Amino acid sequence: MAHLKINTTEIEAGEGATVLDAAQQAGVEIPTLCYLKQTGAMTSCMVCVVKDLTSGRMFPACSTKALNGMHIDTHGEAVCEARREILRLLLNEHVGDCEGPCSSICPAALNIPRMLRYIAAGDLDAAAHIAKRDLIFPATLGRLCTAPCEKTCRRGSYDTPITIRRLHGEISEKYLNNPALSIECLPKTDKTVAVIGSGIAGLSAAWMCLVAGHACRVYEKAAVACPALRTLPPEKLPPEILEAEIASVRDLGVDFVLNCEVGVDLPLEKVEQESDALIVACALHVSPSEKVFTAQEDTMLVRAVGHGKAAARRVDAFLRGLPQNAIPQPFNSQIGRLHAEEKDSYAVERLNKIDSTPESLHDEAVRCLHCDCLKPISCKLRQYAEEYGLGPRLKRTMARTPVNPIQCGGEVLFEPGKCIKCGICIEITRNAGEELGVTFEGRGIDSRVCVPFGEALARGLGKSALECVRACPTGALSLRNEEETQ
Amino acid sequence: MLPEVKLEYVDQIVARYGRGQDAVIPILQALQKQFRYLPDEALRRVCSISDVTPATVESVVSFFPLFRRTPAGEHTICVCDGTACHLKGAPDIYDAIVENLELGEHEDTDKNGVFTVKKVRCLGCCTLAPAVQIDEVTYGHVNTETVPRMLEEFLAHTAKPKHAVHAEGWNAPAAEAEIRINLDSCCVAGGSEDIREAIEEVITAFDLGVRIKRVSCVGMCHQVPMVEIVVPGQAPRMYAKVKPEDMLSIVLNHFPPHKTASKVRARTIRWLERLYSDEARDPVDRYVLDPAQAPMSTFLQKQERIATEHYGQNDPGDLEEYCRSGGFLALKRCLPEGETISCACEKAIPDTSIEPLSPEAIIEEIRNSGLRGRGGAGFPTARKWHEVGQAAGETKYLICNGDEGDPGAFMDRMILESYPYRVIEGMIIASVAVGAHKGIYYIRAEYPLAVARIRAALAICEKAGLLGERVMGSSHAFNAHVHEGAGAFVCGEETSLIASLEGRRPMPRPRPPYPAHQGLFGCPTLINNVETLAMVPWIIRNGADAFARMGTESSKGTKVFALAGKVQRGGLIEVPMGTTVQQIVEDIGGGVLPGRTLKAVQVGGPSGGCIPARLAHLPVDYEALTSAGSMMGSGGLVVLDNTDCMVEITRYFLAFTQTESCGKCTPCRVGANEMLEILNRLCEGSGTKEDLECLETLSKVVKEHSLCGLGHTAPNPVLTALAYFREEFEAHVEGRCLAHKCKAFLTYSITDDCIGCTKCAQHCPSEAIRMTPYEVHKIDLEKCVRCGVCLDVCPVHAVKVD
Repeated sequence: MAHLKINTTEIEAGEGATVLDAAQQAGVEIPTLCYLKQTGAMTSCMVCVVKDLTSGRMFPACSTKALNGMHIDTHGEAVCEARREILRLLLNEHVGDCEGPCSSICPAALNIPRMLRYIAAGDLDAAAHIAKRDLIFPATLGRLCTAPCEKTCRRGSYDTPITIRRLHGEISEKYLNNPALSIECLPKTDKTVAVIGSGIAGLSAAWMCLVAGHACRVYEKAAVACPALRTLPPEKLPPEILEAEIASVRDLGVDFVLNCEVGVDLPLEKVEQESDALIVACALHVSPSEKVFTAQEDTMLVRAVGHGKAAARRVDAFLRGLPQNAIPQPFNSQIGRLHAEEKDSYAVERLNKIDSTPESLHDEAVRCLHCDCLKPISCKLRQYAEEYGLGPRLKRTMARTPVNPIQCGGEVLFEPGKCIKCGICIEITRNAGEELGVTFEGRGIDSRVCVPFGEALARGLGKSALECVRACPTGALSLRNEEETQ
Repeated sequence: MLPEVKLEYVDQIVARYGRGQDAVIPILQALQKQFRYLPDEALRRVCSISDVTPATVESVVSFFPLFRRTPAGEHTICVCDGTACHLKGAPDIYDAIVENLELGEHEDTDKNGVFTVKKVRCLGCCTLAPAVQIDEVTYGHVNTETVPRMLEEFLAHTAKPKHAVHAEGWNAPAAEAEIRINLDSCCVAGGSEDIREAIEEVITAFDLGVRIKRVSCVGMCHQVPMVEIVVPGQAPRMYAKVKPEDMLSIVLNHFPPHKTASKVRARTIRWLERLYSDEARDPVDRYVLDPAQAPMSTFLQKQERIATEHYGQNDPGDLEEYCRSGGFLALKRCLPEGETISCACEKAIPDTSIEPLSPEAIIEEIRNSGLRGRGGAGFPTARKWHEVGQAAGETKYLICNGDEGDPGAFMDRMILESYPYRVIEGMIIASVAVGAHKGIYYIRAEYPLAVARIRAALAICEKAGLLGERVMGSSHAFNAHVHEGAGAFVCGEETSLIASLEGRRPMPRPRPPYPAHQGLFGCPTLINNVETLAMVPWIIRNGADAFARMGTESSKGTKVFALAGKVQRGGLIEVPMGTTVQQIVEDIGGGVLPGRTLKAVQVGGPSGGCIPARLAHLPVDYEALTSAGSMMGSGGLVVLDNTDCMVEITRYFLAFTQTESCGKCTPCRVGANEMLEILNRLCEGSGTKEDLECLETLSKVVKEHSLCGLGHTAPNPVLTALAYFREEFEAHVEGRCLAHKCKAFLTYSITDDCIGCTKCAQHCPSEAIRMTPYEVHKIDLEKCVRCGVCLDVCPVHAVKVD
């Protein structure tokens, strides 16, 4: 038995307990990547670093025995700084995209790879739902978007990019008046948000406020909502498409006040008084205060959607009393541009060889290379990167390691670039007595996990494959057909 | 032609080394020796007939650069890139060889499969820098221009390998007069073997009846090849930097032929030689060294000899001689009291009545002596012994750590080669003290002679009853064998070393549990460095007090250093602790070259740091060196002068630790890599101010959070260089290299002093200088590779560097 203190909690740790065990006992969670109960401490990632205030030493909690008289600091400034540096190193080495380059560049953050996977699987309901959820005006954008996503599509460096805009446009038009796309809103709050201006940014902001549970009223000086887009010739944007998508905003519960120019027809003060927050989505000048937010309209429509969504996020944080910097911004690791010599190795195993320019939605969707990560939620590296404030984007301070081809073994995918060399899968296959197993190859910065004698991944992982995928702390090992969606 | 892959041979090897996982490295070494690479079918065979798993094979083979999976050429060229060789241009030599063999990118073997070239870290011939080893022949002082000749010469001589260092037997018993010559690896590389042949020829030709005696290292590597002539009743004469053709005169001068016919012949030959030789030479006056006169006296007399006692006198392989000079006396004292102590060489051991020591008393004696581990960290030896002695366990192991991986250090190699019995005696004493019965010598495979000599010495000791079930006839049993390391710096780390002995990938694990409690195969294990063990017999024989009288408050006794770099007299030295860095450089090393100034001394190799000239008054002392940001390390002392760039040298050390990092823990694997990238940028002229800050932050992270000693100490060179020579780093950011060393900042030009002799154009390797006889030459900066050859060859100093 050892008597020690974890932060402020005094505890008795059992015989042979580690500092990590003791912290768990005290109800304190220390981040770990390479530690797994059944495989024991690997002591490779060093993320579980803690400080013993008694001795002043820092050490990994997973493999240090809890001793009498220790006073462990698990989240002090120095500890967090060290952890941040170690995570930074891991991320510097990390070669993988949390989100596809297409989604990353989309100002409205449409989850394109997932939408394409649904289309490829024939689940058009789900695909259209994602398009609606993320773009709010997916059919309108299907006609008018400048599609920055298609310019970054990696498929483009082999043949032609996926026609993403056409895809979300076409499926959305099919679902224009379809109740299958029910968007779930959070439980209602008693807050009201006023949006001045009913352009795409204003309406997107209003939509997102409603989704977040707040009541919302939109003021428009014209007689119709979104007057600017109505001037477009019908062959460019059929009026019924825009009309239907505006109607969906109204149907969700947004209150439209038309023919009402704030500051002329209605005093600004009154609008401010009647609402808990104000989003300005037009040229009106409003003196700044903590409850005033802006959502800038933009001729690039998808950017206007993005502005509207961002304004709504800030309003939501304000209304819930959260600090503005607490708005969750998911960490997004990015490979960046592929070097010429990397293109082929990146595409191996990803490329779905359909040669002719495909006509059907399905044939087009299956051309996607699925650059995004299949474990975006459970990846601990991503979680900690976010938690320790390293995101949303990390400036690489080290030359990026070359992209290695993705390996497939049955249902399992292995992306070497995402591996943190923790050795858990090696230990699992060894304990399971797999005939080949997996192992480390090379050393230092060049070490990587491989199957002995260059054999296939499926042979190496054997019957332990599923266990390895579940235990892998990052997206290095994932299941081809099992996507985390939450 | 590659040897055919015969699976029966694989079966034989496995049968010889055993089927256990711990046999994996010896098996792989044997296979590689046979096939020159490791063919997949042979590896699969190993897995199918032994307990070695495919995962183990893959992870071990790919870890050690010694092993290769693709066929290699018939001969292997190893270009030493140890510190001393690096400073003296090893990278250029490597490039020259690559060019000569017409190798493409990522190729290491020429088209005809004759040569495979690779860089190795330290052949331990630092004083012959730059050195190249082709198979077993070592060439010293190689330069880019002699590369083609070296390769031709090698091929011409492959029919009869002359310098095969490992194929040798032990010498005959002592005769009266003798000619002493050192035949350790570095001396052989310096040409000692040719000298020995020449002497032998003279002796046979004139029937002189004098014996040639191979002796232990004198440490004066800057004077090799060296011979010493000992005639009873006369003062010994030492000849340095001799040539084979000198031997006739030297030998005949000391040993005039007795027979009339021989006398006449000798006179005639000498007369003829004088007649035909290009120059009238009188080798005796030219080469003789007098130990009583400076500078030899300063080189030798500032030294104290414990680990290298009887240097240059005894035959390393002669057990009786070792015993006559006090060997195994200490062991005798340590064996159980009241038991009959006897062995084959008993007569040689002086019969002095000495007070016997119990195991506890041995440890007490070591404690009183103040001996600390000589491997680097300086952990008190007695405490380690006590821990292992107290640890519960039927089986205990004792490991002699001879995995000297520090580039620029070769103390352990020299001690193993020159004083094998001393190390063995120290090890047996340790085994008595801690109650261990199994010992392992872990020696780098790059040290074939050390391996051969320890193996031979172990066999002789066993035969003499010094090893075995009854050590010297007592009830103490102790056996030991040699394990050849496969070349990984991290194996110097205790837990990695154990992992590799167990046949696992050598990755360290956190301590505790310490090996003293949970070591090899889970048993209590004592791991001591070669030098530490070599100190033990002396301490027991002369008493703890005698040892403790030498040195400083916290660092007792002596320390062996490999002195190299920009110093006039490099070599292997043993000095009392407390000697200042200045004394070592000036008195022993003779200072830097005339016209140069001392800039810094890099102590402790890649784990240590540099001590700037202004701190040269620092004593050699564990704490003093650590407080200056350096460390004792294993004992490499590299002297740097004003022409060395601190940024470049720091990059060199970091490149070493980065490639040696095992890759297990994040800080060392990624951190060291990032640090190296920054240093590369600085040397290439693209570094920024932020880079410097980043470098400092990273150094702290790597130092504090790495798993093992390699990572903890890797940033030391960076931190000390930044602390003492920050201005050099800042200059690199501003686009200048203060030492005019980093090629990215250099521009070569030719002044009007040029006489148009075309020498520079002839030597330029990149055709950057067009041949324009009798006109001032010009350098095409686009083509210039900044090698500096033109600067060296210009007879009128018309080449300018900015």
